[in-house]
Amino acid sequence: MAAVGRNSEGVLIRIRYWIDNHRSLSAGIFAGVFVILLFVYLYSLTLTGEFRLDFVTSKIPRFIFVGMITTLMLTGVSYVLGMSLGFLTAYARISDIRALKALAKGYIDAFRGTPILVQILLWMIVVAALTPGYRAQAFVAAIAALTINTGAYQAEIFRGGFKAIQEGQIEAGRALGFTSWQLMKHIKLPQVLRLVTPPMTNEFIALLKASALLSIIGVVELTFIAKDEMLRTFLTLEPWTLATLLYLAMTVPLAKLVQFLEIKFRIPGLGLPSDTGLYRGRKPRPGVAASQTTMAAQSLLLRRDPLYEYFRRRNRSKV
Amino acid sequence: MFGWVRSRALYVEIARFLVLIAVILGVIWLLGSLGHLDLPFIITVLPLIFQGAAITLAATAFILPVALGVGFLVGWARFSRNPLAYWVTTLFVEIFRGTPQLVLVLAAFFIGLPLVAPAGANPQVLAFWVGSFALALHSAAYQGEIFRAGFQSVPTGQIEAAHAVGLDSWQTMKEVILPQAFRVSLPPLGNEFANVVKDSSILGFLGVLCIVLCSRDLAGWGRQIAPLTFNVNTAVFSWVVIAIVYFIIIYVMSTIMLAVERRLRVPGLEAAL
Amino acid sequence: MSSSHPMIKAENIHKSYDSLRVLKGVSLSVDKGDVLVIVGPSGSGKSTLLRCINLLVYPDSGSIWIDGILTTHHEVRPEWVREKVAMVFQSFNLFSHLRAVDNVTLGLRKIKGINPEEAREAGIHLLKSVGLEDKIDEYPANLSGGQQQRVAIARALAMNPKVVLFDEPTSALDPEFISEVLDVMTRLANEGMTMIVVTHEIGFAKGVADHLVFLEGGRVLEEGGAREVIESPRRRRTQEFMSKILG
Ligand SMILES: Nc1ncnc2c1ncn2[C@@H]1O[C@H](COP(=O)(O)OP(=O)(O)OP(=O)(O)O)[C@@H](O)[C@H]1O
Ligand SMILES: [Mg+2]
Repeated sequence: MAAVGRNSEGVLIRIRYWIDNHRSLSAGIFAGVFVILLFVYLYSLTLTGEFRLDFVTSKIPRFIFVGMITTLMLTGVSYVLGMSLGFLTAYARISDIRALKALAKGYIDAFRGTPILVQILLWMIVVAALTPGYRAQAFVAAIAALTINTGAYQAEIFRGGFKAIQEGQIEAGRALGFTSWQLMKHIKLPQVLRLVTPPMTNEFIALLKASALLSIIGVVELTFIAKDEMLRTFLTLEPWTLATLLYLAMTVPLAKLVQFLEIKFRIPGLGLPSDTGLYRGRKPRPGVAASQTTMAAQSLLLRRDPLYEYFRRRNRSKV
Repeated sequence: MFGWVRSRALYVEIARFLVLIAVILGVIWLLGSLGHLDLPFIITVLPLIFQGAAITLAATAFILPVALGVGFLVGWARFSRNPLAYWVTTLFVEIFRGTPQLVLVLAAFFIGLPLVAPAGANPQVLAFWVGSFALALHSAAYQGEIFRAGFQSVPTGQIEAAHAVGLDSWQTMKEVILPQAFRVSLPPLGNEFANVVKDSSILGFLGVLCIVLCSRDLAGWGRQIAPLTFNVNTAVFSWVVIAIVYFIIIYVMSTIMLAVERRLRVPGLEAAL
Repeated sequence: MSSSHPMIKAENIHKSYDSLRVLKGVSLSVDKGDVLVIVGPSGSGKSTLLRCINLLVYPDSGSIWIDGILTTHHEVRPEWVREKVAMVFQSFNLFSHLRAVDNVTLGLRKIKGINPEEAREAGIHLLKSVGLEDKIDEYPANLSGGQQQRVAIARALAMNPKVVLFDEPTSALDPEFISEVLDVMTRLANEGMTMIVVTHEIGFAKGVADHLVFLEGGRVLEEGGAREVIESPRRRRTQEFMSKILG
């Protein structure tokens, strides 16, 4: 043999290919290594007294059983309430009644377009004016603020889902003699539910993150407890590290779930691209043009702003 | 300043904006005539609110370029075939995307600030910087994902064609991948910028109310600021002012982004939004 | 310039992807100015062979000589090989962000360092030679498939290559655009360019090709003069295949 074919793929790239092909295993290994390193580092800090392990051991029940539970409870309740609100709003938004449509649009834009912090404060005032008792007020305001905020976001998600179903399919359903309820049940909902599941999970993460702002009106959730413990003990590193890790323990698995659901619930030809390599975690096959579909799908994972999109849509048509 | 915007569109835009302001003023007047408005009180808090708006503006001006730069590098690393760069930036994205903005800002105040503060520095100013930096990293995580999608949107066939023409990897990156990735990323970037504006309201809020920096007794956080914040007037006013400021920032920004997009327009590379 | 060596010579090329053995010892040789057509069923390794020849992928073993130089030797830069051996793809692969002329001149500007004005001149000249003088400043998205493929051919020719590889250049095209691309290729062959063409356009193969290689399962099953193999193949498998693409 005159020459051995040189391999253009270096060791690093080989490792990367292996990672691409063993996604979850390598992620597990890396996350494991990171967590071990983190704990080794924190342990070394405990030896010098810079990190108080006794704080963690004594306070962790409060962080988890009061903070995390409250956070999850508030987020969960608001999320479910917001889902019904969002579904109804989406339905109003695509209905034929103009006033209903405008109302829904106004609600969606107003609450997606302003900072949720401002919304929380506003609800606190409204609730405080109506009911006595500080803690109860804060709780009611918290749920009201989160529900109405997430309702607006979920409405947009549902609307996107309904819009993705082609008119032709609905007509075909009618032609088969389906009533509108049957149409909803057998044709629209099964598609919409699959389409919206990933962005809806994503919305749950966003809501969970937003719930940290409730500490500002005095709701005793995870962030509030971290701040509270900081003030009681005058420690800073410990409570915030703990709170951050607990938040990550909730959001990172959920984010992974989004990615998983996106592959699992994909309907070929609908919404998400199948062959871009983006979701399969491997190298895209040569020649697969992905640009538009990839961006469209990816944008589900990102944070979109109604006002910006509004300007964009309107000005773009003028180009 | 808006020379590159179609002038008619601009007039219509200004007209709409004026109408909106008129409506808001009308609502305020209505509230006042119904006796819900405590004018002297508003006049005392108005400077505070504008200070908050100014903080939001300044923070946005700082966060955007930082987040853009870091996000770009993160996106590049997440696209690269280098496993170390890939995993380190993946970790970065997971951590900063998965932690609430408020927690990041507070952690930056209480853990980051003492670490970086030089002796005799003004803590309030420094707090602004570290808080903005935390928000910048949060946004960078999102922008990293935007850029990564942009990089991945370049069909591999074109990369192969670039090699076939004789470009090496670096030239391929510079001449073929980067220009396309950048263009495709523009529209979602604009969206993310709008979110940065909203998030920076946290800084404005914390700064103005001095919760973190001025008051030594933070225990009754919620209750303490209640008299100030939970006043209908302040709240409505801060809401209106923030909404207006927010509207203006987003408007200017989206106009700029659209002009950039139009300048760089390439048939076939308009990203779907 | 009479040379004793063939323009392209490949010997015993092996290539696997993971456990999939795609090329199992392919050898071929093309003389200067000749046109070699490669046919074979889908998945037989035709594209992989072409990619090996201009080192877009490296063969696991075997040797390739371009104009007498052993390119699989570890001291030869792949970029050098790709300057000598241009490639035209099935899916065109034009750079979406560059206008037609900039697509053509990218290599001239960035690799040969020719200044933009001169490069543009050369690009316009090339585009004219493929009949696209009115599409010089169009973006790829605004061109038809046949036009895109002709730009891609101009891009391949810009670096003044010794060999051009064509990987099914017409199979992504609507029938009405196929002939305009084949015409350009025919003219190129008549001008004396050395070409390796993967195609199932039998008319083109008969009229233009000097040699034909039938590839199946990563091996050369039959080779010979193009007309001869098409009209009177010796092996049964080749006969079957020919009757299929002829019928
Ligand atoms: N990058 C790659 N990774 C893994 N397998 C590959 C890769 N490229 C090609 N293959 C596999 O190698 C085999 C041969 O592929 P090749 O593209 O060379 O076939 P082909 O003869 O050109 O077929 P077609 O006529 O369909 O273009 C196929 O089974 C293909 O799946
Ligand atoms: Mg092929």
